[in-house]
Amino acid sequence: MNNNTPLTCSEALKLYSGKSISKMILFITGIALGLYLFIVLYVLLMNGLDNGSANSDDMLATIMAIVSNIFLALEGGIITTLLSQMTYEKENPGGKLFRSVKGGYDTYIKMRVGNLITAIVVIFLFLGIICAINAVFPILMYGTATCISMLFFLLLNIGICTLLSMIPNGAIRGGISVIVSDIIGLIGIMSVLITSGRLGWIQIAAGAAAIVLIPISFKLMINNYKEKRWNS
Amino acid sequence: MKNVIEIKGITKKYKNFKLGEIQAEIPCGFATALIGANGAGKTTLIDILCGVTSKSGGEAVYFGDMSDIDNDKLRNRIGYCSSADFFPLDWTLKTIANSMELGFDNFDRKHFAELCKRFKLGDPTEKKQKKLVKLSDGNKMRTYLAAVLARDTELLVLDEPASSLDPLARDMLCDIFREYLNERDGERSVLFSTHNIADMEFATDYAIYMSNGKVIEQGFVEDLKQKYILVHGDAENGEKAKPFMLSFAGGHTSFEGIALAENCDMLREYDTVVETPTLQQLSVGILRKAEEDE
Repeated sequence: MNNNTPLTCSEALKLYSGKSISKMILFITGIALGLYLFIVLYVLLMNGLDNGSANSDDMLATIMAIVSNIFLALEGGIITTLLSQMTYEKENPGGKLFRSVKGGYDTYIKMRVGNLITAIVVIFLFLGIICAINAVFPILMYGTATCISMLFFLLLNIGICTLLSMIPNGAIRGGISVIVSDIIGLIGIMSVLITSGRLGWIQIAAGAAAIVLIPISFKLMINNYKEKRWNS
Repeated sequence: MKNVIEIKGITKKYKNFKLGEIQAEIPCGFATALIGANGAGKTTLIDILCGVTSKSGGEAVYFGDMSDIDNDKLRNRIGYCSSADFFPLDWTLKTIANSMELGFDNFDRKHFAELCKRFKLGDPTEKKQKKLVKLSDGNKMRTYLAAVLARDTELLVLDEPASSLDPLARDMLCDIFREYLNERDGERSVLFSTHNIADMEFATDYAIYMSNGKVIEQGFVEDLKQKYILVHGDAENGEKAKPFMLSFAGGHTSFEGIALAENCDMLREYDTVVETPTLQQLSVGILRKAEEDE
């Protein structure tokens, strides 16, 4: 490909990660769904084995639903954390190559935009599929409401994790991001459980905050990275 | 003489290290070695020249009239490669080809496949491929070289390309440099850093010596070999010869060191043997002198 056309966001993401936006979305959604369903199935089987001794059907369903809800929060948090933590530092493998490619920092920005699009689409897809599965095989407590609540809170989490990605120390950044993401995810779940499945102002507030925070945090992160970490 | 890069007072400040001010010229059409001990500032300088690290001050002029390293036209003319983990470790030859094609306008996939074959790395089009993490350090370096050589560039900048290569591969690297330069005689140049000077002597036309963040000597190897002499003699004459020598290493029976050629006649009076130094001997002498001066 010998042309001088600037890269698209998808091409920039492919340059950095080896995967275009569509492939990355399918890859991460696939892994997330596979892992989630594996855990749900595992818990179901474990409870099924104990069923004869103590657990009644109602109790089993309740345990199942609680575990499914909590794991949905944790996994959603981890997905958004991972995607927002792909910062490609100079010291890491490939870091120097990425600083020498055409477009330089513009290509980096496009890659981060590609990453952001991926994160948003993955959340929609992941929760949408879980919601659809829940409609056929009820695995979640207050399934549809939980998925909608999680959607708003995970979008908010993208904004917060983007802000947290400005922490220079990788270990601290990763640790704090995972903890914060899990807390946000659990708030998303708990807010539905407490209101017995009714969506209210807290979800609207989370969604509104996400709409404001995502572009602001992205702009702040891009300026901060250029100044402090791109080629310092 | 045309220069491919003119370095004018480049500086870089870190907490514990300061580079520069660097004044140096990299001649066009030749292979230039950046020689120095670990921590001398070679990698920092190369990273600055290739836009990987920002500079604190000064400027570099490339190809006579280009100075903005963020300009894509300039980036496309420079083939840069670092020695440590230049590509992510989960990449394969195929991923590398895909990314290089996106990252540079002048990457030739077919040429990459040919180079991979020549370096015995395999076929980038094959379905099953090894990830970089599973390759030896030498094969990783070969992969980096294949990727950077598959681009149609005018200046090759390589950071420690020989450090992880075995002697045969180093010899091949020297041949590659020659081929690269001869392909477009006088138009292409190579800049590489090394501390394996002996193995890279055949490939070096011009040398820039760095110590503690500064350039301490530079010139064509043939000129440097005329400027400096290798002196050795019996230990009993060592103390007399020492004041005229730049570097001195003495034992119970003999001594050896580097001196300026202008002191040749004086040193011969102390029953010394004067020879033309190899690049390795020259480098040891110059770097040892710099270390003593610090």
